[in-house]
Amino acid sequence: MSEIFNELLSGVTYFGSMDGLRALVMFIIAGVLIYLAIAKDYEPALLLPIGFGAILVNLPPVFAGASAVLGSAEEPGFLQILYNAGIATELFPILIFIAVGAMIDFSPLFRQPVMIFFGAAAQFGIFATFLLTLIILPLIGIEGANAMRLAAAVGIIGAADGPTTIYVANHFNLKEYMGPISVAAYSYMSLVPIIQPPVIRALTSKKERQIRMDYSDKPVSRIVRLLFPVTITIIAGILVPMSVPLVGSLMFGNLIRECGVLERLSKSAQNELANLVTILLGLTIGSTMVADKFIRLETAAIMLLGLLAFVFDTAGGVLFAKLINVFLKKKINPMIGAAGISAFPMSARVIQKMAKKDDPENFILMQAISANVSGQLGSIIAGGFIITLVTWLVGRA
Amino acid sequence: MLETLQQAPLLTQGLFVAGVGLVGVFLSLVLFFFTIKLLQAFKGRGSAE
Repeated sequence: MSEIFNELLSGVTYFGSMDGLRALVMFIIAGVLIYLAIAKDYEPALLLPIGFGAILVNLPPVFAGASAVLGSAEEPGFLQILYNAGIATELFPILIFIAVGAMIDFSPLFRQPVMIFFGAAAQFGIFATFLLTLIILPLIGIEGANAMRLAAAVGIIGAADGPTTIYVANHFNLKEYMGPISVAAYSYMSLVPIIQPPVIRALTSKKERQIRMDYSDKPVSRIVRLLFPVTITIIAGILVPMSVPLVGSLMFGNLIRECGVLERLSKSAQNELANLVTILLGLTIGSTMVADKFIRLETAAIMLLGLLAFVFDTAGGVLFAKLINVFLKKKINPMIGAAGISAFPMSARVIQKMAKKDDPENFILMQAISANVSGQLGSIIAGGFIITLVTWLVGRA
Repeated sequence: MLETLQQAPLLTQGLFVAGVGLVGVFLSLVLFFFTIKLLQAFKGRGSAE
């Protein structure tokens, strides 16, 4: 009789154990994510499902150490099934990229192709953070090939691009770090309006921030719009074959948008596909936030290094713009460089807001958007390079 | 060359990845830049917006 009673109350008594206390800490973390999503409107479509997924996986275990939503090896729960089907196979990030491709209008970039270089410069943070992580990880006991793989995934948080981050982390089978890496990527993306301005202000003078730039709203040929996604896919496939799943899906989505004969598919990709996969992706990422894998020193290190990646990206873009201004007669507003990160379109909006603050009549939004869409391309290519090079050196694990 | 790198200290490997990666991203986007310029040469043949 007492055994039955104990069994019935096992869920309550669980919270008196050390595992239960850890689960309570995870509930607080999940609560913060849900609060940020609802009260602050920070990436709500992702932070809310991630937060709720984190609650689900930290409820009292039913199977050996795992909650009902994860299940056991023989009887996987629904979140484990979603993980196996959508993250382990890299399917969800790829589907998200089709949706993103259908949403992106590359016209501002076609009007000012030179802005594409900022999409490269602002990837500096990825590689700087990668190196910094390689130095720090051995100090907390992670060494050798594992350190190299984890550094690759932490560095790519600087891509400011959630699907790319998840894709790289999954490529190196870093499931136990997927939670902190994804949370860092998505929460810092939503915090771009808070992270970027102080870095930009520290590196630029008011006079530099007041620089005005010309923008011509000239029409873009349809043939350019159509050939761009196809050509870029082929070139990326030749240069960095590992980037093809990401570049290919992004460009496929963009071709659907631009072809002009698949309006229904384009709208489906932008709405239904994006929404459905976002729900599943968020919940599944949340399911990786199991207490014993999340509450540890490595998580704090990943969160800190992820923040630094965004800071380095911003600094890299701004300093690159200042460098090329040395050689230009008609100066570029160096804040445009900071928009070279992939957080689209938030970063471009932040830059325009800052420009307007220093000069109410300064309009550099379109230039910032050009740099911002270039950042989308740059981050995917950077992801492809980092996967290729690290796999060459230490393998996939 | 690859074998030498595979046996090099972690930081040396890291510097290789960071250096080649960053240069690689720049070169790729330079190529994309010229691709856009080349595609714009077709401008006259397509119907403008």
